[in-house]
Amino acid sequence: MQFLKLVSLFTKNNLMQLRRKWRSLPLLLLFPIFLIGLVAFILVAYITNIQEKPIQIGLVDLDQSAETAMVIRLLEESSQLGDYLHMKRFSEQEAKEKIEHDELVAYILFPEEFTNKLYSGESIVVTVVGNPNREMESYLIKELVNSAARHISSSQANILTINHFAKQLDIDTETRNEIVLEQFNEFLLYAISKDNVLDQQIVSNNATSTPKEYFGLAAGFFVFTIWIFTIYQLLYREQSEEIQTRMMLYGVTELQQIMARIIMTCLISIILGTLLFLGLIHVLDLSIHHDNYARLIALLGLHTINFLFVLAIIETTVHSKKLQLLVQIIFTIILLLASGSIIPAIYLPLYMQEYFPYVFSYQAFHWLEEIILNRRVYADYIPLLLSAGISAFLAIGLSLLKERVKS
Amino acid sequence: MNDILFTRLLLWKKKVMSMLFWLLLPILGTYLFITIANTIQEDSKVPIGIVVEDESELANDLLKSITESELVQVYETTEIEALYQLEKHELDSVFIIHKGYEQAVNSGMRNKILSSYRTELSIAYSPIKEMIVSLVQEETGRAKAANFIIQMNEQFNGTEPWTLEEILKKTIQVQLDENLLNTTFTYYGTTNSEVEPSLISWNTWTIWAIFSLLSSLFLFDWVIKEKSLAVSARYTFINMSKWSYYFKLIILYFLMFLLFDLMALAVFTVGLGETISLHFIFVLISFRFMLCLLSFSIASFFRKTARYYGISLLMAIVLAILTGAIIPVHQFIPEIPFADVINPLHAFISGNPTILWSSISFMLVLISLLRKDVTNA
Repeated sequence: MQFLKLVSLFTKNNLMQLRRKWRSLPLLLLFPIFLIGLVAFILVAYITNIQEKPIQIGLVDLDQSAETAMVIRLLEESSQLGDYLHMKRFSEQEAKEKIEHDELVAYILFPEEFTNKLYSGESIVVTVVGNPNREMESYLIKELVNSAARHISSSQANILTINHFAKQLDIDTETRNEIVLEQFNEFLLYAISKDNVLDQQIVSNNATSTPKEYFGLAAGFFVFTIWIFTIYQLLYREQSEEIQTRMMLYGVTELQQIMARIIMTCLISIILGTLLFLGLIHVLDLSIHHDNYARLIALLGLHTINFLFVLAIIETTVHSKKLQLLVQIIFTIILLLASGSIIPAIYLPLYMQEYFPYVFSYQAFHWLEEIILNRRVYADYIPLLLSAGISAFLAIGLSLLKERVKS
Repeated sequence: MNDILFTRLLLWKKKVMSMLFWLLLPILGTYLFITIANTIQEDSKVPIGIVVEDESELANDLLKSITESELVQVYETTEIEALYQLEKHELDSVFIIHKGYEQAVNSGMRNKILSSYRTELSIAYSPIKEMIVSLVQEETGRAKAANFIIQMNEQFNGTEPWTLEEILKKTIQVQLDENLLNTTFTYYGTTNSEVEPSLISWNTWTIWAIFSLLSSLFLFDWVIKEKSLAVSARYTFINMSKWSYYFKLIILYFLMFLLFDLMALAVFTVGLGETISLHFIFVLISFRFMLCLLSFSIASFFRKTARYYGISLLMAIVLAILTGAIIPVHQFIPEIPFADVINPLHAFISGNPTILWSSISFMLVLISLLRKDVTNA
C-alpha cells in the first residue's frame, strides 16, 4: 500500500514537472522528425545529384584497332547502362587530367594489342583506374566492368573455339578471318542484348507495399521510439546526496521513482504514438480494418513498456549518468536496427536474423507492419508479453537487489 | 601551473577508471564501430527465391552456381510460395527457371527462358539480375557457338561430324585453360592494387571525430560540477585571477587529450591502415584545440549536468548525420552552403586545420568567462 501511494505521489510530481517543462517538450518531440528530415534531405540531394550529373567514365583506347573502336563506340552510344552512366572516349593524358580535376569518376584502359590477344587467346588485363575521392562510385564501376568482362571472356572463348574448329576445315585464311570478325560482332551484340534472357516482371498489387508506405511506417516507428527515450530522460531529475538520504529515511526507494517515471512516460508516449500513427495512416492513405486500431494501441503500448523496462534496467545497473546515457543510446540503436525499421531485416546477416524474433522491437515492428501494411486482422501478443514480463522482472529484481546492497 | 596540475591529479586519482574510459572511448569506439559495421556489410546476403521447373542437369548446374555466389542466400521453393513471400517482402526477388530450359539452351534459343519477379522494394535486384543473366548467357553463348560450328561444318563440307558435346567441352576447356580476360582495379595516383573499393566505407577519422566530440563534452562536465556553492566559495581564496585559472585548466586538459589523440593516431595507423603526415598532425592539434574551447564554453552555459549530457548527446547525433559519419554519401552531394560555418567538425573532416571554429570557440570562451564575472559581481 505504502509502495503504491508513493508511486502515485511521484507520478503526480512527474506530471507537474512536465507541465513546467512544456516549452522544451515540443522541441524535443520535433527532434527525431528533424533527424529523419536531415537524412531524407541528404538522400534526396544524393539522388538528384546523380540524376543531374551522371557518373562520368572515361574510355582509353591504347590499341586503336577496328574492334576496340567499335566496342568503344557501342559503349559511348549505349543507353543500356542506364541514365546514370556516361562514357566518353579520351586519350590517356586527358583522362588523367580529368581525374585530377574530379571530372571523371574512373577510366577504363583497353591495353595495347587488345584485339590481337583476344583472337589469339592470350590473357588480357583491362585496368580500371578509379578516382580515390569517389569510393562508392568506383565500387559500382568496378562491379560493372567485372560483369562486362565476364560477358566478354565467355564470348571470347566462343570465338576462339569457332576459330579452332574453322582451322580444321578447308577454309582459306582470309575467309576464316572474315567469319571470325563477323562472329565477333555477333557475340558483341549478343552480349549487349543480354537482358533478353529474362522475362522481367514487377509484382505490384494490393498486397505489396510501396517503398513510400514501408519507409513511412519505419520512420514512424523510429520517431516513436526516440520519443519514448526523450520523455523518459526529460523526467529524470538530479538529486543531491542529502536529498537521497532524506528520502530513503522516509522509506522512498529508487524503484518507486522509476515506476512513477515509467507510468508517466508510458501514458504520454501511448497518447502521442497513437496520434502519430493515426496521422501516418491518414497521410499515407492506408485503409485499415477498424479492429486494428485497438491492436495498434496494444502493440504501441507493449513496445513502450518493454523499451522502458530496458532503459530502467540500464539505469539501475550503470551508476555514472554519462555512461548510462551512452549505454542507453547504444541499446536504442541496437533495438532499432533489430526491428528492421532502419534496414529491412532480410538484408542483414543470417546469424543476426536468427536472434531477431527474440527481440521485442522486431516483434512490435513486424506486427505493426502486418496490421497496417499487410491488412492482417490478427496480432500475436504472446512474445511481446513474455519479454515485457522478463524485463519487468529483471528491472524490479535488480532494483530491489541494489536497494538491499545500499542499505 | 604546477599547483593546478597537482590539484587536478588529486581529483583525477579518485575517478581514474571513468577518466580513462572517456579518454579511450574515441579510439575503442571507432575501432569497434568500423570492425562491426564492416563485418555486417561483408556477411550480409540478399535472400532470393529460385523456382526450378526444369528437372535437367543444366538447370541444376545453374542453381548450383547461383547458390555458390557470395552475394545471395538462395531459397528453393515453388512459384506460389515464392511469390507469396515476395509480396510479404521476405524475399528480395524471385527467379524462375522455366520448363524446357535445357532444351532451349542447347538449341541456341535464349529469349525469356527465365522469369524474374521483383517489387518496388527490391533494393538489390539489379546486381543479382546481372549475375544470373551472365551465368545463363555463358551457357547459351556456348550453345550458340557450337550450333554455328556445326552449321559451318556442313557449309564447308567438313569431313568429320562434330558432336555438340565435343564442341561444348572444347569451349569450356578454352575458357578454363587460358585465363582470358582479367580486370584489375587501382586508384589514380597509387600503385597499390590491393585496395579494393567497397560499397559503403566509413571514414575512420570522421567516426573518431564524433566520438571525440562526445567524450570531450562529457569530460568537461567539471565546469558545471564546480559551479556548486561548496566549490565556488573557495575560488575567492586562490591567488590567481579566474581568467588565468581557467585558461591553465583548459591547456592542461588540452595536453591530456592530445596525448590520447596521438595514441589514436598510432592505433589507427597500425590497426586500420591510415596514413600519417605532418600536415595531418597539425590538423589534429587544431581540431583538439577547438574541441577543448568549445566544450568549455558550452559547459559553462549549463547549470545541471543531466541536461548538459542530454544536449551533448543530441549534438553528437546531429553532427554525426550532418558530417556523413553514419550515411557516408556526403562525397557526392554538393556541399551544403556555409557547411564550415554550421558544422564545427567540417574543417577537420575535409582535412583542413580548424581555424574558423577555433576562433569562434575562443570568442565563446571569452563571453562565458565575462558573463561569469558579471554574475559574480
